[in-house]
Amino acid sequence: MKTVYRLVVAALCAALIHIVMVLYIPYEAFRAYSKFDVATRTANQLVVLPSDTRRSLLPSLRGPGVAAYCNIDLTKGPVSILLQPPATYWSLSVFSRSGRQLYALNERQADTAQIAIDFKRSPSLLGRIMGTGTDEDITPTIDSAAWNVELSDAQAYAVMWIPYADPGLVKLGEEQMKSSSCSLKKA
Amino acid sequence: LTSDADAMPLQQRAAAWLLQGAGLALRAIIGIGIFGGAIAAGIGSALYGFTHFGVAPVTNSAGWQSRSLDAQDSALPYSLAHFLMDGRLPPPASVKDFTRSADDAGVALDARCVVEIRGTIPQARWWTVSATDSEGLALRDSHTLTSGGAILEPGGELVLRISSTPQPGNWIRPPANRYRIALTLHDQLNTRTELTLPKVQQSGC
Repeated sequence: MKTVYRLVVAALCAALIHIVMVLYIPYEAFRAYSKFDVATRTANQLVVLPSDTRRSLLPSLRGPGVAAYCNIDLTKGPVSILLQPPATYWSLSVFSRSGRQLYALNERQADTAQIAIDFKRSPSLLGRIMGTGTDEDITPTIDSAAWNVELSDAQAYAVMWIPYADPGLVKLGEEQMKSSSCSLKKA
Repeated sequence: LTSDADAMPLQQRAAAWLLQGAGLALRAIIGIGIFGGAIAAGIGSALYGFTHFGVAPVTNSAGWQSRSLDAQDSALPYSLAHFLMDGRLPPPASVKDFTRSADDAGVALDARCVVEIRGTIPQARWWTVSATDSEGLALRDSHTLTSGGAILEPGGELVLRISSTPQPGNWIRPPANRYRIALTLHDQLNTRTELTLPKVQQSGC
């Protein structure tokens, strides 16, 4: 009887460790990697990734191009991303800390030369019950001046990717990217 | 009055203690074994899942496989973990990444051979074909051909050769003796039509 009990407890232990390994450890591992790299550890700053960092951080974005990265941290308030991309194909993706894609935008959807995207935390369940969050706060809204995105988590990762057919244009693209920004939104 | 234990000769008492101690040690070893095994099983099964779960062959395109990042897929946590564990972000939802490590005959790709990729690339806003290392990393931009830089045949077909020596037409160099091919579609168009990926043949080894 004792052996059966031990085996059942061991099986539960194995299942628990498996769940932790799948749902928690990868997120911690990624955070540790991000902190290790100078280009990705600074919060709320748009960083043009060096090509080596880009290849290892974003392995699916291959070939000549410019990748910019912002480690969004909403603990100190809303964050605003201002983009001034070229008139070619580009894409912006925002990932949660667990790697799920939360938001995406490309040049066809944006249809404008300058885009401002504001990120803020969605009200907590308690906040919603107490009425501190309005419907506008809960539902993502799009207006002519800016995109407003609400995230349930305080941390997210934004990646902007501009591929170039001509590798010679990459340096120019990196210079252009410096006019874009990611920063805490001024009150 | 003396107890039975006290009455036992010293040698018998020592033997009893030894037996009791051995029993306890055996139980501890079994306990540690069971729980050690449980920990190993939990970690091992998760690591196995990171590598294998969510990866599926592409229908009608022998040799090609892709990793599902569909929100409805039960393997999604494993697919995401596969990237995050190595400090990588998964491909954006608009990007479809297909890989293979062998030619159409099932022979592993070898840098000593000339690999020819021939076929029509599915319509997309942007695409790339890369020779990557075993982990899917294109070590240099020169290991990648892009839709912007490719020369297509009159019928729209792509012919790309991967070889250590220069080749006519579209050519990229392999990154290592053993490598993988990655085809990436950015914002695929005509998603309703069935996907057919190019054929891969190896020669001149």
